[in-house]
Amino acid sequence: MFACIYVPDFPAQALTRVSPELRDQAIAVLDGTPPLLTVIAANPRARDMGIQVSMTKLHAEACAGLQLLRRSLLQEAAAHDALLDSASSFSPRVEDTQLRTPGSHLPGDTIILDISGLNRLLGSAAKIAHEIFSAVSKMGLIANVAIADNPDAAMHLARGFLGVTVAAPGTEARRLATLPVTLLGAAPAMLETLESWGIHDFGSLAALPEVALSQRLGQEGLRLQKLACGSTRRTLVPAEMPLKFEETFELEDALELLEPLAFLLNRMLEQICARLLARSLAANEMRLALELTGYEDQSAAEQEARKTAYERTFQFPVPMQDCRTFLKLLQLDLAAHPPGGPVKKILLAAKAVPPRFAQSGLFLPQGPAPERLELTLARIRGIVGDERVGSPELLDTHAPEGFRMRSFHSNNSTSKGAKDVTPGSVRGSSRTAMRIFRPPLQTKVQLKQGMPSRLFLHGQRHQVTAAAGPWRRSGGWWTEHGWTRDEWDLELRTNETSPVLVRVYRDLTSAKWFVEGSFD
Amino acid sequence: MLNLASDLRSRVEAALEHRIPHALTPIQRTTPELMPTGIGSVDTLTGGIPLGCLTEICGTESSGRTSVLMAIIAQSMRRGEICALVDASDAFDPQSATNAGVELEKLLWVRCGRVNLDDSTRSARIESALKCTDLLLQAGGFGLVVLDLADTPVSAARRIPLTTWFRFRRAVEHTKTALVVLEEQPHAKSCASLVMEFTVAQSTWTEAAEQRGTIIGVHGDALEGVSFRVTSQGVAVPFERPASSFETPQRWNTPRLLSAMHVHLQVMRSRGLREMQKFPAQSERVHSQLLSCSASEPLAGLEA
Repeated sequence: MFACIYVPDFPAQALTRVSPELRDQAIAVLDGTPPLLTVIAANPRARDMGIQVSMTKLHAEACAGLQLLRRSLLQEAAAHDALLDSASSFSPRVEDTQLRTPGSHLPGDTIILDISGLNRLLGSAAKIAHEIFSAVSKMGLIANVAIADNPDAAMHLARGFLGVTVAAPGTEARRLATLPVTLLGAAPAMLETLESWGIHDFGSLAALPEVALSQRLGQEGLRLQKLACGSTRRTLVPAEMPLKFEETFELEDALELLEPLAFLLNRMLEQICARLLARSLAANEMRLALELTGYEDQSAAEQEARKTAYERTFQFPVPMQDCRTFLKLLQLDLAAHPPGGPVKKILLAAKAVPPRFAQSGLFLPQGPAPERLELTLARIRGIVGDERVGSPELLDTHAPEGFRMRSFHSNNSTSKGAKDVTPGSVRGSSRTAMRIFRPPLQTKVQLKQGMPSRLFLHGQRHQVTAAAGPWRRSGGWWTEHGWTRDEWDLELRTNETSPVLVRVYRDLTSAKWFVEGSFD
Repeated sequence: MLNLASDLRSRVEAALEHRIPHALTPIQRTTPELMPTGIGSVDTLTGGIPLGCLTEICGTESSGRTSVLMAIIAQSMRRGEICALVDASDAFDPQSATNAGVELEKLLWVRCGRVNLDDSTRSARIESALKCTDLLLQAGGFGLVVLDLADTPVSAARRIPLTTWFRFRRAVEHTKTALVVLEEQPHAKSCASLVMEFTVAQSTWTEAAEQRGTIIGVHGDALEGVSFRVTSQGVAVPFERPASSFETPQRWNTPRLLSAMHVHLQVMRSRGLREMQKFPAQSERVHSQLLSCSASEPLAGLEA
């Protein structure tokens, strides 16, 4: 058994897929080279108004209330990918009719899939058809679904009948009989001949005698007759589908505010997440590319000159599928790094990976939920800055401030489990905590017999009551950031306050004294 | 009469059940679970850090409060927990934290600002720190959240509204998260379940030869006392005069090292904790005990 998914008015549905509000309006899609633009697709409301395919733009504009849109091949490609994803969730043997058409570069509107054995999982053929219809609807496309015993019959039924059609084995010829011969996809000359013979539908063509038809139309005529009978037998050519999860949106008018942009991003993310779910995948990286243009009040030349690209890449610590989390992360990042101009085109791409398997220990403490933690970190980054949140990582250097910040991942930390680190296990290290002054506080030190005796800090004079040092530390002399200094540990006292233990150093290159931090 | 009263109460409660559940029954306060600090003397006095509560660690500079905090973070991480540190003055030292047993990959460090700021910038940094703490508490899942206001002037910290502390307390209530605030003076008032105040007693300076844990390298003639101080931050060389290069260590000038900090601990408040019965007063008492925090082997003598 084979099922066929056909999306009527595919160019129009590809546009309404990301903009559902357009479904309530009469829209027609134009294509061609200006000024010779013609209608290539229209939705049912536009057809009710008398709009037909191949009408010129001039004629279409005469209809009041009709919205004319330019064809978007990028959105059609995304819709086609979504169609393949929904079909893949039912069967691994999916044929892409676009690939079967030689020389075709346009995204196809028809997908055929082998559903043999699926009845054990989903039930009757009608139920399978409804399930497929529902899955395609979730992708934002309204499709015709047909099930038949052979792929071609299923395709013609899907192209000829609205909604769900199921042809039981042996009844294909009867169900196909009323369909027009134009659906056969024959050459125009062949169709013209059939028209001159008075053959308008599949039933009439199927009733012609085979020998006579062969004598007049050759093997092509016989092939068309078999198609009309629904009795062809061929093997399905499964398509190898790349895991490409991209959504593109081209705007008629550039967006200047983040809120409407977030509105569009939400729709695109919904589509991407639906596709990821259909393939049982998740995303661990998201790429947002915006095409920026000039402002409305600028001339066309200025707008063209200001056309720039804006790109942000988001790495997630764990694979995620939640649309709302993605959207919030995008919103927070856009608020922190706003695009430098109005947005004309949006591209959102997800890198698909297998979803994570949460299998933590029964007795291990529950860490923060990764999605929630990522949102929290994004919010905190918005408050304190990108580079000021994370986990410190010690570097293999003896330089002061020998650490760097890296992004914090709760899964990495929890997966390692509890590590038995004995305090002070670092050989020769002190366990007394230090509080570092960043940047170090410049100070003045009075020396007495080579040892610090007084220190001036914050406008106050401190008496040095105990001192240890100096200790020389140097390194990196072969770089621009070399350091060489003499360190002292001092106990400072003033009359009013309790003693304070600090570490001071004298920078030998500048001969200045600094307070590095305090022991606490 | 008693039966009548209880009957009446149950009827009133039943009538108000849909609006105010258990309107006339006092809420049963549960004793919070305590997490040991890893310092025997502190645990003896306090019982540990209460989970689901707000704890304040107070003290002046060099009073040992940060060392105690690092011990608490390390102890929490030993339990497998993830900790967060909101550093209002960007004073955290990853090196000394590692030495104290803190696993840095399990620590989320939020750096809010610097020490030497003017008033307006400082208050903005405090506000940022409070916001970040709020977000982390709302996110949940952390074993320990630390708000470090130690370098914040008392006058600035005093301006934090009591409602903020109340909100923090409510955020951690009934969770396994301990909220610890490091500051100079206690400000959370009744919102804090445990308040510890550290004060400086004295510091001890010992001869270099006794610091076996610190000095591990001897270069040249050991009898002459020429030694390195090898720390995890690098190799430091004691010298008499400025040495011309790192490779030529000079003679030791001051054979002393900072070896220990002695501090006092006062438990200012221990409300609702399990160890409360140890204190004579019902709610709040002041206790003190001399603690010794050594620079090289700090708190070792205090561990149980």
